[in-house]
This record gives sequence, C-alpha cells and structure tokens, in this order.
Amino acid sequence: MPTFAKTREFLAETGKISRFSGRLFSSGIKPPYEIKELLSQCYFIGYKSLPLVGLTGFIMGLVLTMQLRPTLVYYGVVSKLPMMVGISIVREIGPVITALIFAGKIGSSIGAELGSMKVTEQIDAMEVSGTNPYKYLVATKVLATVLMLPILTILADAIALFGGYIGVNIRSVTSLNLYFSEVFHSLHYGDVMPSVIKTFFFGFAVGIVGCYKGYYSNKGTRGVGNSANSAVVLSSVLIFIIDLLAVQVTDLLGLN
Amino acid sequence: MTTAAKNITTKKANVSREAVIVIEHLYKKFGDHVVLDNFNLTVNKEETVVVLGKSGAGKSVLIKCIIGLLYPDKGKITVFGDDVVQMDHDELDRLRTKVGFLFQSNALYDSMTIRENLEFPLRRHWIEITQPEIDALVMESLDNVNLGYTIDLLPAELSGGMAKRIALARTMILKPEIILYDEPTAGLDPVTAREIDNLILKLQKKYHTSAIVISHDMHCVKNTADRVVLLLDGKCYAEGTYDSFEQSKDEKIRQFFE
Repeated sequence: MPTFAKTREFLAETGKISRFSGRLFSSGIKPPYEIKELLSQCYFIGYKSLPLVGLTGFIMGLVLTMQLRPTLVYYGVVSKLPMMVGISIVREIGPVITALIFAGKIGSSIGAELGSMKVTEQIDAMEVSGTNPYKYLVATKVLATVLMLPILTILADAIALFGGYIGVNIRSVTSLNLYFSEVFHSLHYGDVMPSVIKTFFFGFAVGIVGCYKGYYSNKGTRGVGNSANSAVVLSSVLIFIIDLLAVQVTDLLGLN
Repeated sequence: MTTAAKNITTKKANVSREAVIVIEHLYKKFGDHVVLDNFNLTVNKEETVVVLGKSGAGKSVLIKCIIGLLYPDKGKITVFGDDVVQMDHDELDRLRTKVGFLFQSNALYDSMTIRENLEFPLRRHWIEITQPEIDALVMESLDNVNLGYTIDLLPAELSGGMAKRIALARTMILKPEIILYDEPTAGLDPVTAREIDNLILKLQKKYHTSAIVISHDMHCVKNTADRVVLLLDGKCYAEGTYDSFEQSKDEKIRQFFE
C-alpha cells in the first residue's frame, strides 16, 4: 500500500476513535448511570487481574534486582541497590509493564467480548431493549479500566518492591525495615505522582481501544479475532506513546 | 409495481383498519448498492404482513429502519403516528417498549442465564416495576413458550428451537403492540419451524399484536400472513394475500413456490 494511502487510513482511524471517545463522553456523563454494571466491570477488570499482575510484579522486581546487582557491585555501590530498584519500579517499569500486561489481558478480552456481541447482534438487541450500549457496555468498561489500572499498578509496584527485597537477600542479608526505608528515602513526590497519573491515561487507552475495536468488529469469527488482536497491539503502542509524552511533560514541569 | 404483479393486489386485507406503521418513499443504500428504493408499506392494527424477498433484498434493513437500528437516507417511517427518523434516543427507547424485535440469530445474551435475559428489558430505567412483578412476567413469558424449566440455564445449553422460543419470550415480555420478526424459522428443521409458526400465531392472538414477518419460508408465510409483500430490487414488486401469490403466474413470484 502506498505511504499516502496508509497515512490517510491512519488519520481516518484516529478520527473514528476520537469520535467514538466523544460519543462516549456525551452519553456517559448523562444520568441515569449504570452503577451496578460499573461495579461488576471493576470486579472483573480489577480483582480478576490481580493474580496475573501480582505474579508479573513479583518476577519483575526479583529479576531487576538480580540483574542490577553485578553492575552495582562492579562500581562498588551495591548499597544503592534498593534505591535503584525503587526508583526504576515506581517511575517507569511498574506502570509500563503493568499496563502492557493489562492491555494483553483486558484489552483483548474487551475487544473479543464486544466483537462477538456485535457479530451475534447482542448489541442491537440491547439497543432494542431500551439500553444505550455506549453507556452500558462502553462507558462502564472504559471507566473501570481508568479506575482499576492505577490501583493495580500501585499493588504491582508494592509486590515488585517485595520481589526486589527477595532478590537483594539472595546474595546478602538485608532486613525488611532497612530495605524499605532505603527505597522510600529515595522516592519523592515527583517520582510517584506523575507515574500514578499516567496510569489513568494508560487505562483509558486500553479501555477505549478495546471497546472501539470490538464495537466496530467486522462480521464473522475472524473479525472477532482481529478485534482482540488489534486492540492489544494498538493499546500497547499507545501506552508507549503516552509514556513518552508523560516523560516530556514531567521534564518540562521540572519533576524529573 | 409491474402489471403482472398488480393483478394479484385485488385482495388486500384489513385496509380499513387503523394504520400502525406507515412507510413512505423509503430509500437506503450502502456504498453504491441501493437496498431500498422508494419503498412504501402500510401495516394495520392486528395485521400480520409478511415481507418476502431473496437473500440480500433488503428485508432485514427495512425492519431495522422501522425500529431505529438503521437510518434511511430518504423517506418517512411513521409508527403509531410518530416519525421514527426524527426521534431522539429517549423517544426511540419509549417507542421500543411498544415494538418488539425477534432477531434472526436470536441475539440472546450468552453470558446471562435465561432468567437474566428475560429480566433485562424489564430492568431498564424507564420501567417502574417491582421484583415480584418482574418474576411474574418472566414466568408468564416462559409459560407462553412452554420452557419454564430452562430458567436457570445459559443460552449455550439450549437447542436452536429452544433458543428461538426463548428469544420470542424475551421479545414478548414487554407485551409490545407491534412485533418485527426477522426470519423466525431460518435454520430450523421443518417440525420446529412449524412449532414456531404456531407459537407466533398463538401469541399474536393472545396479545392482539400487529407484525411484520421477514421470511422466505413459504410454510411460514402461509401460516402467518394476512398479507404478503414481495420486495424486489428495493421496491414493492407485488402485494396480496398468500392465495393470490400462490395462484400468480408471474415468474418472479413463482420462483418462491418452486
């Protein structure tokens, strides 16, 4: 496909997602609100993701510590290991890896669920039953991803820091108190807040892309598979783009 | 309408009754493909009109325009005197309490039990209803289709015929005054298809509903139709009773009987 056509297709897709987001806000802010469905989505999106996010967080902290240690030993600053692990996890690795895991699990599930509902006319049936599908399906899912990803990231960070503590203790002996006091001593407001704020945007990207891809799924099972797949790919790319923008913004604000 | 087709329009049923759906000069196209081209139709109170046509003729598009799932490019659709095309979302929601839609694929919510499927239309915000009333309506709907024992099953646990009957029960639960059936017997064996026909007739009689049935199953057409309309090339090609269609010599009509 020529570059011009690809660019045009990309811009058209961007326009469609923007319009979809606009429709979400216009229908989502008007009462009545789907509180019960929102709580149900928070349970499935948040609580049900906890084991996977916790496990990956633990491994992330453990591996990061074990890989950092030889370099720090070489430069004779192994005592800075808790600080390095803490800053790396809280500022960057925790939010991004959690968001990518979240995109893989939740983005694909939303894309496939809405895609199959579209293909089997369940979304039309909802509309005929007097239910606004944007409000009931899209707004609740997007809001749940926006609310749950920051909470999951904070939990993943905490578990990753604990994994780091285990990693530190494989080769040496450090008390839990000393390890965490070293970690928290090195963290500042400018490390924690921007990384928490950007996870709201990561959550929005995962939710809106999953819903968009599912809602406009083509007919057929292949279309459902494509929706799930492209939801993960696009939301993962968006996570990196948002992360890049977040770094620029925090740099401009002097928070780095 | 062609000259040959005009010959069979001599026996229009129920023309003097109150019109509940009036479709005037409906035009709808997808890309360059014109699906409905100056289509006109009137459905009267307690009348069942079957829209006959080949696959892809635009039959489903027609009834989706009536319920507001699709918007026509031109033309007017009046249901109970109100123009559907001009309605906002809230007005459409209110209209949909009076107009039921049976989907060809049944469109049962596969993550919900049969009870939750039936409760779903009742639990929407615009209906003030208590839990005992919801329970009573769910049981009445299931009794109507003789499937009370499936209440706690999931749609995946039902056969094709059972799923169709449950979908019909969900369509009827709000006791709509008009029902739009999108190929109600498609994909069913002949015995089950006749059961669905009889169920449609039984419920029409019980609740005095008007209906548009989309079908190319001639047994279904024969059993349910007060009036038959043949949709061809986006236009109303012929209109009449089932008998007049059956006796017609028009080649385009005869092909549905062969």
